[in-house]
Amino acid sequence: MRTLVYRHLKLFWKSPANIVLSLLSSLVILSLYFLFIRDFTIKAVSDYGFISSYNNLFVDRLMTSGLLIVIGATSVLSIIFIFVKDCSSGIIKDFFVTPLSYIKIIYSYFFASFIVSMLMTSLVFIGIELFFSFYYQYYSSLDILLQPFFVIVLSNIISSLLILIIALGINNFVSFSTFETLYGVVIGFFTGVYIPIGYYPNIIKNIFFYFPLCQTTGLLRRIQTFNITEKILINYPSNIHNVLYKTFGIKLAFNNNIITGYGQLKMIFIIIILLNLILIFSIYIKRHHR
Amino acid sequence: MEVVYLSDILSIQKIRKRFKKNIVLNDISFNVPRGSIFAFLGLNGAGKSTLLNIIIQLLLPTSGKVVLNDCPILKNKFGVVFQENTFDDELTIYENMFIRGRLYNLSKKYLQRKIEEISFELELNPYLHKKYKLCSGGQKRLAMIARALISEPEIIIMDEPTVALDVEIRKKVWTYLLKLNKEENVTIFFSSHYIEEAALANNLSIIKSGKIVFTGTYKELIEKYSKKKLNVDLGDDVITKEISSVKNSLIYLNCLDINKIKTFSLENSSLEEVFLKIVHNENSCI
Repeated sequence: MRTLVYRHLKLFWKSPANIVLSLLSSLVILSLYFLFIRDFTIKAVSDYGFISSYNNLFVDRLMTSGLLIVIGATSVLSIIFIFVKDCSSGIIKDFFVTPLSYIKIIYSYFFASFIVSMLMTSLVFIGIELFFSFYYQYYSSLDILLQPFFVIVLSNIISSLLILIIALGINNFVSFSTFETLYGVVIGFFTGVYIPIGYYPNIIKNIFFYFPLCQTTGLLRRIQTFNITEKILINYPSNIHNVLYKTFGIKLAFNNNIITGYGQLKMIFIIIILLNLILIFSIYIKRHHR
Repeated sequence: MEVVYLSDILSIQKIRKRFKKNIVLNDISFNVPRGSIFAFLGLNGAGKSTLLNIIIQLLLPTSGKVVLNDCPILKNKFGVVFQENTFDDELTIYENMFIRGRLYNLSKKYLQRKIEEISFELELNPYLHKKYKLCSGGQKRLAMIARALISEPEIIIMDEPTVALDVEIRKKVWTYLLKLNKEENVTIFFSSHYIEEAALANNLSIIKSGKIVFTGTYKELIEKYSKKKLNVDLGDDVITKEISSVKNSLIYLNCLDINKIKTFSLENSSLEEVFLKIVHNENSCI
């Protein structure tokens, strides 16, 4: 399987457009945030009555967490696109006739897309942390940085599995391109990057609660803003703390019941197991309905 | 129950394939002798590729089974040449072959040697480090055949291997395959709608609308279906007549005015005529 992962990555690197577009999409997402969403969100925080010198830092930390998840989610698409291309061109048949099992062949695309998304998000993550240390003199120690990094790993695992399952169902070059465009647009809304999750109607919030990346975004925001929210909320009664948490997607709630960080982590692991089971089942179905 | 002879490398046993309500293959059975060159012929859409895909396990049969060496099929025992090109355009021929070779758990050292060896035989060396997308159609096809040989298979299964190749490349491909068959006893099983390629095979099967209408040797095919054609030039007229034997042709000639006959010839019907006769004759099932 290592050989196939190597092959997918080699094809990814062989196409300069792939790398440029992946980096460019990360830059575009970051620029869009700073140009259009940042001021609106900072204003929204003060509109809710939270006035503090930490508001800008809080919003930047909050939004960059969401952006890291979105960048991870979109950067898996390039490798999964290779999978769809291999299926439609018949190249994948050349792997199926080797002694390598179907499941290993399909999972090779998962590992390759995970590696690419980790590379892209790690680069952006380092860039973001450098930005906070230079602009805000906000430093995080290595052991603290490991926590968000762990959530990013989980989020990229989910993204790779999710898109691979969808690609197995689509299996068609043109349809997948259309899906890519749609996914790029809706993922920002699903994770509450473009509009804070608290602005959505309850029913939508409850639906998004079950969207796997909404959980990883929430957990990452919770970790990344932990020290800052404590400072913002220091003079506020504890009964209104949840307003800030729920409105800006730091703590996710289902039917207004807030889920704990541990509960979120548990849910993320369950999602990963479920997605793996769905993927294995999809491969099994494909294999037995040839 | 089908009998598998020890001399048979591949046994197709009552294969049936149905896609929804459409029966594509209907109780297909035949054996491929070890070390033979076996042609699987049929018109486009007859079911050739479907059966090939079942043999190489890309498709599952609705019923029936395929047995290789008296055992369930092992993927490292066969090499496959697909009808379409299945190499990555952005990689070189060498990289493509190397990656596929590694999937058979072959060592890097062995692969390097093997790739050079096969490329030398197929005269692919000059293009080995050329991007696949920049290769000509002939070079691409040769590369696909080279890829099938990398795991030293006992049988090579090819789906229309020489389709869209010019005569020179086709000849080169077959020269190498025949050499491989003769020197290393590699069984070659191929599908084709080029009837002239069947002449290279010592065994063949003909499929028509999902049913086998002939299985046997080339000699048996000719003996069973080939008719003799008698051409008589009478100067002002030319007579062409189908005759069943040489004896009958002499009887017929005796009936003619011997002084009028300028020349006469007796020839067998061409393989193409035999093939067309079989695939267009509804009652030719054997």
